[in-house]
Amino acid sequence: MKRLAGGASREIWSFDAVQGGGRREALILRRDPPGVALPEGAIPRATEAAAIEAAATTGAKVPRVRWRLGESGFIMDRLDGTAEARLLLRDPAFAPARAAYAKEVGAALAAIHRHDGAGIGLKTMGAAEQLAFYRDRMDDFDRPSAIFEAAFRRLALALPKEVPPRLVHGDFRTGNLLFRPEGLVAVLDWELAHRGDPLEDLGWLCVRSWRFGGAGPAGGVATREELWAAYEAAGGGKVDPRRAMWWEMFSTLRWGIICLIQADRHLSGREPSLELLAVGRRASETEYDLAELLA
Amino acid sequence: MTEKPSAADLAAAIGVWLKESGGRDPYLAKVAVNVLGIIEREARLAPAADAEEGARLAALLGTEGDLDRQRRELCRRIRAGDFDQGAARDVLARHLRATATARIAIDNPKWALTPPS
Repeated sequence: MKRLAGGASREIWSFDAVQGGGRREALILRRDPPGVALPEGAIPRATEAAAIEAAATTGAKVPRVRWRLGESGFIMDRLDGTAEARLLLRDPAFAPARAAYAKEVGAALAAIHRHDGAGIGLKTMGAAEQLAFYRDRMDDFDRPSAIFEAAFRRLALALPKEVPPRLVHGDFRTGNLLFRPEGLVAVLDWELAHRGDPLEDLGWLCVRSWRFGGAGPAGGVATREELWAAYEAAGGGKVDPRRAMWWEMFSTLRWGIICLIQADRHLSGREPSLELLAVGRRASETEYDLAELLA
Repeated sequence: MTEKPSAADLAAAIGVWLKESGGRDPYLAKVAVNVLGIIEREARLAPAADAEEGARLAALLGTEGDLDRQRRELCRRIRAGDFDQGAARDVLARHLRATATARIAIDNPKWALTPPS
């Protein structure tokens, strides 16, 4: 068994099960050690498995959940592919995946959002609730930022109307999407799933931090318009560009504040780590992007 | 400086990491080199950047004061809605662009070179 990244509190293991007759199965175990508090916003592993299964019923490409292990773990198929931005964005072999990107990613989002996310223990978090949540987090830190304040102000004044909640992935971006050279294989990492405005997922995907130097706002590969058109063509709802851009600005702010939260894990003494602390200075990347979005 | 994590926080964390691990992990060594770059650029660039920001803030707020206080005052006024509209909004947007540009030159100069949206 091999431990994959997953942070201090949550575990992800990669392993092969050897069946009678020597047949091997590639599997992933996602579990939480007993007695450990979940990171803020994260859902229990059982709920995560339920969200993956829900998305599968409406046609999203996801790994098959194989066994549930109570509240705190489940085992799923380990699919072949890569989530690495460098390969997707620049490897010549991945040219077909790039060509199909908007269409496949738009279709995956539309499929996820076909499910309303009800009845599986997911919280509903719309625009107003999320803005208030990150406002509180910001106020936890003594790090005055005129840019974050201006973004909070702009977002509060332009708050979009609440929409009937749909299943939202919550962390739909490069790094959580598995690709093979020929295209999208699966949507991974459902631990921030919730019910809410489906355009949240489209906005988060377009944050510059997930473009890894690529030119297209959507994951560094496609334009926003290509993503929106593909999403609509695949049966996703009509994309209101203003609402989508609200979510993109919110998402940029959200990532900026997450950077501060990471640094605080070190600064508070809870989890001494050079790596976490360094992420704190990435907040200025989102300030740079927000200053551009606010202009 | 109100920058957080401060250069002192960053330098201290590199010190602890080197002492405890000998600096052998190649991934963290890369992180440490990046962080040293931030500390170096801040030492070189922050004095002039802070002076320029201070001058902009004095013009924007019509008050004088140390940089930290001026920054907090601007945050308070933005939150109160003083820069929601018209000319005030445009002047603020220009200040924010200038501040972000000076900041990214310290924290990650490559960021400003990535394709715009």
